[in-house]
Amino acid sequence: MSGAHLHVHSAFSFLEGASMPKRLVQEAAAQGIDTVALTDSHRVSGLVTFLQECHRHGIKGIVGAEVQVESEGRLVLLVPDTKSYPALTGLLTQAHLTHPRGEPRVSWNSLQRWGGSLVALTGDRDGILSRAMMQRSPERLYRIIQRLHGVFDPRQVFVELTTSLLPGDRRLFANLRNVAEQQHWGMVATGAVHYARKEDFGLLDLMTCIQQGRQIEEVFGGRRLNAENYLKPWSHFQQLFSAWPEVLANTLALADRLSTPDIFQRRFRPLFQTPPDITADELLHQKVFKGARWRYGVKLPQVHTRIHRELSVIQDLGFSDYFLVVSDAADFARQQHIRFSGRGSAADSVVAYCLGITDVDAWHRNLLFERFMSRERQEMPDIDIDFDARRRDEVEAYIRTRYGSEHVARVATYQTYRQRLAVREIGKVMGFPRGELDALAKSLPEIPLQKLLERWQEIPELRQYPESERLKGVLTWAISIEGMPRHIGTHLGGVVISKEPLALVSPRQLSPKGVEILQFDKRDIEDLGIVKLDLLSLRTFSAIEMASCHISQTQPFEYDQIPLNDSATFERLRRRDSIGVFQLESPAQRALAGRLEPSTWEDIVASLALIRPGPIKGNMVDPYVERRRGREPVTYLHPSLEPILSRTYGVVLFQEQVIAIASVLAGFTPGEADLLRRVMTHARSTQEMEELGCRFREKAIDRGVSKEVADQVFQQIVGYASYGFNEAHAAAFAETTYRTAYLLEHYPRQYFLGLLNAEPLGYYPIDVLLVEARRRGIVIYPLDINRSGAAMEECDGGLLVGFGYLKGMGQDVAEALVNGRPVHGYQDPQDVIERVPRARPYIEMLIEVGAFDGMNTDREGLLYDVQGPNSLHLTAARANRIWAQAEVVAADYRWLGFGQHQQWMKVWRPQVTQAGFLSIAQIESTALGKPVRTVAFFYRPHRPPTRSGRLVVFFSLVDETGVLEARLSTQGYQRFGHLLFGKVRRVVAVSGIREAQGIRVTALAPWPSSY
Amino acid sequence: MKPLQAVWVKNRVPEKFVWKDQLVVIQRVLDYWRDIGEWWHNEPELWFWRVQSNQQGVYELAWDPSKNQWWLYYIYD
Repeated sequence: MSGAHLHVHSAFSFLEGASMPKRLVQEAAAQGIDTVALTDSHRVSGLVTFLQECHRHGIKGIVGAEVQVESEGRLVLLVPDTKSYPALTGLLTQAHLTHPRGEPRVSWNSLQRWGGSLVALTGDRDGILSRAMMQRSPERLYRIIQRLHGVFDPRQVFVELTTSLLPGDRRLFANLRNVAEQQHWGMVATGAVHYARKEDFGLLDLMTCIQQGRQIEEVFGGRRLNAENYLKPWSHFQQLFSAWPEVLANTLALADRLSTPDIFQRRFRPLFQTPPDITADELLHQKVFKGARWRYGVKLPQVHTRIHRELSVIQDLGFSDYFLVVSDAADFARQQHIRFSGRGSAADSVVAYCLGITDVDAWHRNLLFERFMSRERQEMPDIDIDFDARRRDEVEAYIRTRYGSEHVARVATYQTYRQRLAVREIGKVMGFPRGELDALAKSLPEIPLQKLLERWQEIPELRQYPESERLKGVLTWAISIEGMPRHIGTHLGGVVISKEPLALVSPRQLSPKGVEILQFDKRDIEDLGIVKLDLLSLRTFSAIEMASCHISQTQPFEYDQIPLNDSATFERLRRRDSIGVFQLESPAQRALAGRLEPSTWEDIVASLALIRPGPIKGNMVDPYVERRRGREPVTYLHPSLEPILSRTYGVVLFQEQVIAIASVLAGFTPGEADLLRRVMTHARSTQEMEELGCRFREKAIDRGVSKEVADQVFQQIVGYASYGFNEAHAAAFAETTYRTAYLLEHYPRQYFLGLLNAEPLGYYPIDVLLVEARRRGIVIYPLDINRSGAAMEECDGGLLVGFGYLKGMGQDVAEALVNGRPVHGYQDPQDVIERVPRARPYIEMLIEVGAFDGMNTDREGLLYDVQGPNSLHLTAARANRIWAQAEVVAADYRWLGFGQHQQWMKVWRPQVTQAGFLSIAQIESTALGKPVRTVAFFYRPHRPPTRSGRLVVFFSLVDETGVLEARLSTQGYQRFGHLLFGKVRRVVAVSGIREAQGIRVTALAPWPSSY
Repeated sequence: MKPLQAVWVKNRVPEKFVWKDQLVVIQRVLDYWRDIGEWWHNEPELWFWRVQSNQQGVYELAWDPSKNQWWLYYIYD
């Protein structure tokens, strides 16, 4: 044996560890250490990658955790074997669920219950013995020793000596040795590791400052004195403990005694309670064919073979129960009238279609089941279902009740340090003012920080900072923290269901939302053999349901019966007039619609796949559009590709097509072909890709394909495999896309009502939606204390703004205002305060946005009354004082975030027109190539990835007449970028050249100014 | 904190040093630790020894490994 590290924290100790598990293991391997225990604070989240990496390097990986025992101090608990692993998960679950979130503690009672089978190390300076010794409290020390004897066999407890090189170590070690000898406990040496290499200390120190909310220049307790908690070579242990050879011998003996728990071999699958005398396989068969009769009617015989093939794979892989569970959840939602739709690769399955999980007919579309599941891949199926966001939790609650809370849990997600958070937190610790950091973080382009640092001079909004050297220092440290886990959260919709109690595999804890979650994320749970179902929230479904409900109040209407070939709907898309349409409203999608001129369902499916970073970078869009429009011939590299690619005009657009090509041309089975696609997606080296190419070429040539064609096809699918879109997913989304376009076309008022009440959703903010609604002739009525509801409501043929839009006002206060309103209405602000005291903090806001205008337009007077000495004694109505329009609209934006009375620019239209600026509507009717000038709000400036790698900015200009998309060239960005990102003014004067997609900006300035 | 010009070291542990023209012979190392200092200002890591001399004086010695510079950090009265 060449060394063992039995106390190691990774970044999953959240701000107590500065290296990822993988890096720690790599460092151990480099040093020839052959046993490493991962002992993160109160969690095992890093376990999966840790053990996998240990396996890769031939290192024995030990599982453990460091825990806080009540207020005594810390213990390091190690799992000696597989059967003891649930003891650790049970203990950690108890520690998390019986204490306030973020402050897990292990009680002596729970140690008594679970700890006996574990091995305990007494920890470092924060350890349970050292703390009592440092506090010179012999009584406490005695009590702790007795408690430890009560829990652990003496052979299970080890007194820990660390290589931390802190003042007082000599005396402490002598005291610890006395205790060990008296209690017949062994002694071991650890590195109390918190980072892989000595040079990583700075990051841990910064993390400690972040954790304590302190700045780096401050002196405070809890901060480490030195950089000695790295993964030291065993030779350092030998040197430091040269006088204590028995300690090193004990350490190695313990490492030898512990074994890696075998947690990867189990399978945690759900159990569906079937009726007596029928198996899950049989029941699934019955349900699927019942569904097939419903879906296919007389065409069923044609689908038989496909269904049998799918069922055979599902049954062979043991997922019948899983499909029954998902089908049951879908049935529940259908019975409860909860709108839902299965999406993702599950829509490649006819079985899923027959079970009513998805509405995409994979048979009709000839979608490949193997993209979803295959014998070759043997991976867990992943079914994603979108539910009406308002009611998604009802479905999860049903599942929890049906299968039991011990068997159901949410999957975790790790919020990692991303660019902006990294800069904010590191900058704060390094002493930068918060406002400055906010501006800096907001102005960072969406490129990795490392590249940002390299291209500093090309980024105008960064160049402008006076302390650029200091900022570069912040960025340098931010780079090292980027990607590390910050805290645990709840996966958007991932729910796991298992017939075995989930405690066997993972501790549970509460997420910030108060949901019980596992300690593993979606990648880990798959490796642990746990099957997941994604129950997702889709706000668009909420908008649809609300719109449908309002339409049905005045006329017969069935959303699901909307005609699928409505020419007016397609005409709207062709006009690029689709703000509000699900997935097709972004500037890029609207621009594509202008070129593609969609007229069929398939055009929508293709559009959804085309506007993705991959196809844009891969230059797929132009060939597709040209061929679709008949301006370029549709050709195929080989005749056998025509059936696969004819629907997409010879262009490889979907992942399913890559699989089909590999099957047809090179004779791969569909399962093998999907594996090939996946390898292509992840292959990083040229050599790896060349090997794949050789295999593809050889197989294709064997089937009579020429080498040249095989090469060309391979090059084409390599290009597309990594970013090709899943056709099943696009088809599933297209359903909702088309139908929302139909609602927008034929029922704009009800649809805008739904959209506005389902906010936040979509690309554009409410202000833009209101401009669009007004453009369609819909009157927006401002907040009225005696008419408004909590939400947006229909009113006099228009829409009336609800209380819930006021900043900071929760739904409960909004509803209280409505429920507390007397029949004759509120009399004045004081009346509101008396009847609904909870609304008091919002009274000024309500006055300023004009909610009392109906009874008294003198907002100043009303404000004076509620704030001044006459409070609760409303004076008589004053002279007819009215706020200026600019004040009225400014108050709207201040307290609501949008112009409820009118869009901001309308107030300034006379002045702007007089100065020679055009409105957006006027620009839209200006000939292409003409110079134009406008003053408008700008929204959503962004620097998307471009094929050339150059930084180009796109943003939306909005005024009361419409929305115009603007583009700023690389040179323009260098001159004006600082006016669009960071601390900026929202209204700009813009000059440019009219182009098909909007405007190419040539000059830009804040407005009003000396422009 | 005063620089020391002459320090005798064995196995990286100080044995004796000259202070105010007197040779101080170390009888016992009482404690040993390392301190990273203000690393963000590029301060060097220092290694510390608290030692007892054969005259019963207690001293804290510091060594900067990056410059191989010794310091008398503190004298206990």
